[in-house]
Amino acid sequence: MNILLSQVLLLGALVLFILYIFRLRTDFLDRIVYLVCAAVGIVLVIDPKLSSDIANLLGIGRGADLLFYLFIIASLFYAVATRLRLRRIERQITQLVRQNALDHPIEGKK
Amino acid sequence: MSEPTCTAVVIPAYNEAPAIGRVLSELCPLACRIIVVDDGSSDQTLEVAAQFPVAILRHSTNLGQGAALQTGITYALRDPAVEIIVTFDSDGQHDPAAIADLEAALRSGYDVALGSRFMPGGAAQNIPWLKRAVLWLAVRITRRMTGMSLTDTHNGLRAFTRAAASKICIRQNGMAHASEILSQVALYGMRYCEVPVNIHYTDYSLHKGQSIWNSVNILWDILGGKIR
Repeated sequence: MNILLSQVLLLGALVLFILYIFRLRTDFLDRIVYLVCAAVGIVLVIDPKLSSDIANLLGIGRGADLLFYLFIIASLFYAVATRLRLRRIERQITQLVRQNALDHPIEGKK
Repeated sequence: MSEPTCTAVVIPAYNEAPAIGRVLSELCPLACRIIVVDDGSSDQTLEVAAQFPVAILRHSTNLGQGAALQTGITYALRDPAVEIIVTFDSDGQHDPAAIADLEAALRSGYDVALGSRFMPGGAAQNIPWLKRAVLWLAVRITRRMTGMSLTDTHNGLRAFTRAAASKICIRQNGMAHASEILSQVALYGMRYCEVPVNIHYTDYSLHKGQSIWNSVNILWDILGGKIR
């Protein structure tokens, strides 16, 4: 079985992705990642042939395939980031609602 | 005002107006403090509960049973006379007489007493076979995950000593709190035991209680809880 350079790189990216969601991420780093993605996108739109050249260099057939792989990794990243944000908001709402309930106990009939 | 040992019963309630009146009328003679957490009900739960000598905490929106339990426990701990905290379901499936057994277990030296419908002496009347099968599976998974030897892992009837209740911190707002409580009991090395309890499923509680399909959501919440 031949291991392609692209496979090594994509697996590396996925491992980095896992490390990122469990250990490294902060709001600031998230924004950097978004900015880098946007910048890469702009460059690739301006110079479409570039994606094919990079793909060939990595041993992937077409530029479209490379973009597809990157897209999968990016959507994973986005899904996890969104989920974590939702969890954080949920925790904040819980705190607010709980504090409000504790501050205003209602006494039933004696 | 300060009894030597005082038991607070925490009852999370979400749209339980048809059942909670009977539950409270049976419980009131047995416990010195009763705390109803109205988890954002849209029915008359609050009005019905207010007819009894209980403290009611109202969540302004529905958060889930785990969140309601934590609110009730936090409130109970504010009263220094409270030595034992019992969690009790509001739909009438639990037998109030079991509270005395749980208290006895704590007095004999345990930190946590867990109700079990599946151990000898316990019973689950009218339990549908599919629910029984899913609960059986849940017990196996929880045993594997926590290393605890239990016969029933998703029973809403439990008792904690004051010290144990202060340590427990329920972050799972939904139904995954049952597993979360157990993992914290294991994590902190609390002494726990099971006490046989009788669960009576009525058409009302089966209809009102969670569907077995929710077990998939619970598993999802537990796995999700591992990602920070």
